[in-house]
Amino acid sequence: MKVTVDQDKCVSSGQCVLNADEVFDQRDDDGVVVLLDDSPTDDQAVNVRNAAAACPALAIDIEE
Amino acid sequence: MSDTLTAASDVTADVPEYPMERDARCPFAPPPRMLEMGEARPLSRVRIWNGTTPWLITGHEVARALFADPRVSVDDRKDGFPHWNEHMLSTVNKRPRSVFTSDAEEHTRFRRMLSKPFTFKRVEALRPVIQEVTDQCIDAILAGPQPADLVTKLALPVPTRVISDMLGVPYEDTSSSSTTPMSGSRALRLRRTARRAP
Repeated sequence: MKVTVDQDKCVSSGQCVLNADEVFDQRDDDGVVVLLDDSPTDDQAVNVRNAAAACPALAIDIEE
Repeated sequence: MSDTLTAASDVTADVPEYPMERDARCPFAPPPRMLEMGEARPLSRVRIWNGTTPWLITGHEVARALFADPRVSVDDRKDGFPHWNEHMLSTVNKRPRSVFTSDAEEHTRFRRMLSKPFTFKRVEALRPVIQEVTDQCIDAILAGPQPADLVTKLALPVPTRVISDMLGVPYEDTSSSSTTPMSGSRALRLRRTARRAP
């Protein structure tokens, strides 16, 4: 699994951190998404897919 | 584009009125007619107070796609914006601009001013405060007269006290503060409620 994020699209909703806090974080100043790990393990795959599905800005892309 | 979307001439007379009546037996659920429309198709015309017929979006996938589409606007100053009522239309230029009524760069500027205190971690860090406030309200309900009103004893004081805490405004000052989203009289009632509590 390969993950990319678009910080320009991000609306700082934090849904990604709620779903997968080992893969995503938020910038301290404005809550914009920070990608911690662009190649999550299989164990994290479900959480990362949930994060992408929950993102209201469609700012998370996953290549399986 | 907005003329096309709201013109009444190109739609038939059976366009349903909006907002729709809710089922009195289940007042917190969306109106039954709206649920039926949502099952039939993700986008439908509805007729609002001023006779225009904007789109009602009921489909989840469509809503997600439109939220991320820069051609969609929430700017309430634009022609054809479906205002809630005549009052909202007549005061549109008197209300301050906000994150809720702005698009694109203006929206982003507002949003980034607001997002710092609402990151996942900062909201999660409020958990002990929210728990403590909720516990105090429930203790007060249990110690007070029965039955209790959950709105005045729980639903209003919990968010008001949490907001006070976030803003750094002492809860006792809520009634005189214009920075809370509550009206003065409502906040005053809350304060009185709080003072009666043990």
